Amino acid sequence: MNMLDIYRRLNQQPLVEELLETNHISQKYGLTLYPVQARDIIQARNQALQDYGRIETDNRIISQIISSFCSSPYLSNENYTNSINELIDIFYFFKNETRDLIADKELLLLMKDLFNDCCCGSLDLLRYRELPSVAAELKQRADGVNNLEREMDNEGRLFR
Amino acid sequence: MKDGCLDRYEVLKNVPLDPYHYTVSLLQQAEQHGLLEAQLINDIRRQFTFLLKEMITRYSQGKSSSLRIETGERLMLSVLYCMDAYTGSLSGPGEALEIISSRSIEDIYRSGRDISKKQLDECAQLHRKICSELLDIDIIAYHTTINEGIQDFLDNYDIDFAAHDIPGSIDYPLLFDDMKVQGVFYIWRYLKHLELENSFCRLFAIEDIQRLLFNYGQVYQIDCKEALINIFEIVLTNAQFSVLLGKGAAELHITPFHYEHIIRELKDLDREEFKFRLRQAADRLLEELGIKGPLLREYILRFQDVILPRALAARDNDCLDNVVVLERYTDNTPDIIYDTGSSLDNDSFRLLLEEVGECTVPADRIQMIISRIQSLGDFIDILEADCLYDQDYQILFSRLGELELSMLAKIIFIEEIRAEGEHFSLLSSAVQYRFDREWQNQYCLFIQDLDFPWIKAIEARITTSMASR
Repeated sequence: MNMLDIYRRLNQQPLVEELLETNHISQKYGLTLYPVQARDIIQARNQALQDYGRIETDNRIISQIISSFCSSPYLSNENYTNSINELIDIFYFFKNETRDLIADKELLLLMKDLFNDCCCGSLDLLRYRELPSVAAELKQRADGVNNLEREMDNEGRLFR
Repeated sequence: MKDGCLDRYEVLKNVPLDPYHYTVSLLQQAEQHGLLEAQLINDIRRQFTFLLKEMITRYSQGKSSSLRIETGERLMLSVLYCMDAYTGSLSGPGEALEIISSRSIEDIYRSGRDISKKQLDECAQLHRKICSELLDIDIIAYHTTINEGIQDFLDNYDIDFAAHDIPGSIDYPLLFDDMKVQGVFYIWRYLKHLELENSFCRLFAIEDIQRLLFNYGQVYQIDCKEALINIFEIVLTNAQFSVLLGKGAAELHITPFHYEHIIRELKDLDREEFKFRLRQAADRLLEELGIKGPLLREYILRFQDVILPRALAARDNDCLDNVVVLERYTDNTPDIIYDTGSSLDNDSFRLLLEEVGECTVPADRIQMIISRIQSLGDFIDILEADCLYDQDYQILFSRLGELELSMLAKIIFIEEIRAEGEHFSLLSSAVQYRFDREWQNQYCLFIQDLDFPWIKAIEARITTSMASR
């Protein structure tokens, strides 16, 4: 029995049906996913996980990405699948970039706000301008806390 | 548990099980030998997957559905480590398999976690005891390991998510140290052995040990204060040879005159006679020093397997004075090459490590190290910090001169240099030996690629420093 195999099997595969269920929401905004597109999105998600060296134990995040962005005025049936694929890639990339310091829900909300507001629907601006500065700020803040803890630790030791 | 239940596991007695990954290796062997039904194997898999998912959710506090592969692997190794703590505590593979078959995986994990926690508490107690009985010896690694490294471990050990890890820098080398053991069990064993070694050293006058280490530094042209040397081994060796000379076991000083006597005594002995004389000396040492504790007795007797080949080889190469440390009458301070005063403080060192880790250009990484590291101790710490890639080592070593490379050789090949003296061959040692530490293997590869005259120049540095004693 190879436990490492078990580990690799942890990756949860989203089902096409689960993604199609998001149509209940997206159709209110005129967007519809078909099975072939759902499969395309699942493939993009698998590729992103592989590219960024991540495993996923819960597959709800894809449906959440779709549900969050389908209300965006910048998505249309023409760019729907490609945009979702790109957003998935950006999502996992920035989970790594922020060293997992940001929760899924927060990142998703942040991405949605930035995409709809200052990026005016530009995925490039989201990926290359807005999110990097957020990631840098988060890392800086985390390093600051670590340094503070270290200093306190060192001071404590002086008096030990 | 009834014996009958265990009979069917008899076959496991003859299969090799990996003691460092006990549960996985046991399950693999059980599966191969058909000792577990397919349904049970699937159930174990399912339970383990469930437990791991639960750990991942706890780790991310439910805030993230995905995580980096390395993080997930770390969590898995942590779970398996705790399971090993329990299955390894049972009477044997048969009982372990019986328990795995009858109890839930989560239950086994919890029991193992409890055992690891108890072990951690014992480590804290042992540490307090060792701190209260520190040897008054000026060796930096000895004090920083006990006062800082072990303390860091006790403060930062993460039994839930990284039970197999060893936070804290454990630099001081013990005579017997199994570095394949991980996590809290490694530290427990380390402290147990350290306690034994300290208790032995306390049987000697501290001034005698200090003097002995001074002489040792003179022999190897190193500053003992900065060196990664084991005090116990140096003391025990001289004490044992002192007994062999007919002196008292507590007498550590051996003069050149005494040394001539040893040479005469040992020069014509064959291997068995030599072994007998050494063993006889060890027995007398135990008696004279009143060592009754079985653990310390066993530890000292285990050393006989180390000292015999070393002393034999040294005698045959006419350099037994590399094994026995002779009294020196000069008060010359050793030729210190690295200045202890220029060691980086902890924060600067951490900062350097972080910057090296984040830098993506190998040459820049090396430049950071070369430009900021001033002491041998820091240099070794960097090499052992697991922050360099294979190519980095080669670039780094290529930036060193003969002197620095010979210093590293003296650390890596201390045993061989002691045994072979002026006959020591750097190239053949680099080809022949493999080490636990990556940087040492990389050093050997580097040496093998050097031009012959360059190797000879480094060798000359090593042997000249010995000849000039």
